[in-house]
Amino acid sequence: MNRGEIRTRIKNRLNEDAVFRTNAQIDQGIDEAGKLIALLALPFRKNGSVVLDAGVAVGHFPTDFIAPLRLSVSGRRLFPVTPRQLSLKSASWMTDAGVPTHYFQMSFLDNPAIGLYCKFWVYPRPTVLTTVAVDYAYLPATLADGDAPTVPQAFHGLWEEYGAYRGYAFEAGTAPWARGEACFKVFLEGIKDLQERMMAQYQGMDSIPIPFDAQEEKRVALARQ
Amino acid sequence: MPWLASDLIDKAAGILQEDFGTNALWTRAELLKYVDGGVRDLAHRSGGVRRGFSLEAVNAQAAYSMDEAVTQVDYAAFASKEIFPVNLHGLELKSSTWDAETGTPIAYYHEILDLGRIGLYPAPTKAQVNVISISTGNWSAGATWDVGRVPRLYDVVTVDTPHTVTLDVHAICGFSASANALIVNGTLAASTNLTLSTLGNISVVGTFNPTGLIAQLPYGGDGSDDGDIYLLARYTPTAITAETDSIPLNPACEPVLLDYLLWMAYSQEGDGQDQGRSSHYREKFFGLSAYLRQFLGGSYA
Repeated sequence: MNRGEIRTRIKNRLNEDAVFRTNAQIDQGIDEAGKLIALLALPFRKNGSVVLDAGVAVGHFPTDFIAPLRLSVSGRRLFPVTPRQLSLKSASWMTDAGVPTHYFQMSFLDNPAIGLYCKFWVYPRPTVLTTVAVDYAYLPATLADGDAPTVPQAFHGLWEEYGAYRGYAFEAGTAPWARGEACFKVFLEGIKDLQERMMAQYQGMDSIPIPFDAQEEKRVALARQ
Repeated sequence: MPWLASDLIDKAAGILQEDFGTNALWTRAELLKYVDGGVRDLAHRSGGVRRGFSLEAVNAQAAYSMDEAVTQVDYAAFASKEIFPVNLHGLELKSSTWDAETGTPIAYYHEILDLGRIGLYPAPTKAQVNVISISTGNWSAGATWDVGRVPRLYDVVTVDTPHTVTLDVHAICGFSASANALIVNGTLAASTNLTLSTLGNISVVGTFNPTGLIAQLPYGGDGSDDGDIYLLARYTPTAITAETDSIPLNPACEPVLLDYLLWMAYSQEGDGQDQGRSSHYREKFFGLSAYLRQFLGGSYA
């Protein structure tokens, strides 16, 4: 389904004839859904590269970065590690030089587009100009009417459920609100399925994404309201 | 792509059905305050805004000021070796003279009255290093100096003859108690609007033209990445005070911040239904913030 089709389905469910909500308001819900799905399930994957000068340990992730999936140098994977683990490995880890084998992420939320970079540190710091291949989960651009989400079609309903949830929030009264909550719970169920699917894919690709929140109790806690 | 506070306010206003007209329940200024609160709260709950920085150690000085936006130190190292958090009670148990001891730091503590400062135990000792030019070049080039690096806070620097060293960066040296901090036997060329900071004397035998140079004492260390004290810390993002301000968080967090705005806006209303909505958005915001913290679980000590 493309965005136009998703919007039509949402309007049908809301019995909307452009009185309570404008198309733009419904599109806002669809866009919000896309961001949440990108954040919660990491289904959008991209390859990039970061060049580190000799002696430089810190690199910047690309501007549409959300989370690292796999970093490698010359085809060899860099393993995620913590600064404390590096301290235990070598008292001089900050200055050790060689071919990078490990990395840690220094910040998640900073937005590189405005100068507060999402950085990573490689260990040991490279002795020569080094290209780090970066597979990462990214935030896709806002959908246009003719664009369809780039996940399997079976999951396109997630956009519809969240869009309906947001649509019901425009109405007063407890009944529409309850319908919206029901849509949100269906959305969370779908997110769990998508998370599990992506997790399986990433493991198959020898990627270790960030710790995944696919645990039942946390999902239930989120849906409890 | 940067995203602005006004974008978030417009989206929240749409859901709240607020046109900011005569009978407005909320003003844009109120929603702007919620944007600011949401950014801070999300950064705090998710622990996601972290940066690494370094400070230059000062001989026998235990306490150091950090950027006031630092909220929590996650990792600290002295001379590339990790030092561990300790409380003052633990230090008192270890030694009755802990606050007078010097040596190589093994631990750090937060000052009780000023959480923006950390203390090192024991206070570091910092030896003076003589740094001498070995060729003509820029101050910022390691190849210019016999130690192979840029001069640091405590170094006594000699620009030897016949070298010409060009001050191309803000420079610092000679913060020791020794008489001469900078000795110019060759030529030291300065550039406009740069600073040279030192506490010692400048001895000029050769040529030193300070035209355009600004004398200024630095705040904190020398701002380089090679300081003795390395910290990885959580930050409070810069305050959002205008609708044109960029939100300093990953744009993927927009729906989470929107929930914060809706939580706060509905909480102002007395109606039971509005309170129910406020509660819904609050729990959703908490849940998503906790989820975001998971992203960082494997990345830090």
